[in-house]
Amino acid sequence: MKPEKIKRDSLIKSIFDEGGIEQPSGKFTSQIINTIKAQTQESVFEYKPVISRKVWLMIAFLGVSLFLYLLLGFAPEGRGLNLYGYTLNIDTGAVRGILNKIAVSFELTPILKTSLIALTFFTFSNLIVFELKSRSFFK
Amino acid sequence: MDYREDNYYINKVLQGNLASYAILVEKHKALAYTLALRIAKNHEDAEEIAQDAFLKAYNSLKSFKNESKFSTWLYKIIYNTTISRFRKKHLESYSLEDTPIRETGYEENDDGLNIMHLKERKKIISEAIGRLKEDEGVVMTLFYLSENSTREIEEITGFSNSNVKILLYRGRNNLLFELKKILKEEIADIL
Repeated sequence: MKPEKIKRDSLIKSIFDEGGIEQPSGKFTSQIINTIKAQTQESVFEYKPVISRKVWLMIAFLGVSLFLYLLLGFAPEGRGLNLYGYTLNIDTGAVRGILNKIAVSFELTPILKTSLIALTFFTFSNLIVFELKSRSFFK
Repeated sequence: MDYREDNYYINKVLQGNLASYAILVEKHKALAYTLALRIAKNHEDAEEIAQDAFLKAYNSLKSFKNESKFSTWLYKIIYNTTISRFRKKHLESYSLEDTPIRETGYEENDDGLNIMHLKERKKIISEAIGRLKEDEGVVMTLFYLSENSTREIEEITGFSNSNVKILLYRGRNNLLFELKKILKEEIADIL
């Protein structure tokens, strides 16, 4: 480097050393640390669903399996589930067998059938809506 | 305050010691803030950007590998945060032909500054640096204050090596030109 260039470079360096640095406000560091602390607390109290995704998948799998089992259970003639004149190929005998085992015996009247279906539908739809809301699918 | 090597504090932060991050911030805040100010040109924005960059650095500290210095990594975050805030094209290409030649006798500035009081000198220098174009200000600050090599400046800003050198050349000329201009204005005010 030429002597003139060196002198000029050292002048620029001294100019920068003298007035090139600027200082932020006094609360600069504390504001950053407070934000980090707030972030950490937020992540500690982060919402975790009561029923995890895995459990939901298992419940869905069991539900679908049970439904398929009942549907494809090949009910014997005249023993299918009668719903307002339509006979579903569900072997109610299998359900009754389970109910008998726990010493409950009753006839499914149309009103009871409707109520049970409505209650099941209402419960599951509410559970699904609640779960989706908790996962922020919609607000 | 005497600081230890950055890695000492980084390891402590990664072990969950937040106080060590406060020390890292204290150590680098002035340069971080100055860099942001070179582009933002206003104190409030510069402070906000520098704080934002320090938060980003904290959140991605795990991904920091010792391939480069912590300061280089941090300045890169600051530069990118500032650029994205101001949506500025930062991969401009520079050539010497575009550079207006503003030759200034450096002895003149040296003498002019020598007769001034320290506080006035600092104010004038700060104003002259503030008048530099954003990229010139950034490159000059990294080179002369942070003492980064041109290779490190390339890494921080994304400029090519030749662009960094051109910006340094231009910055030096423009800084002396602006200093001379301000000194003349000051003297005219006094007279």
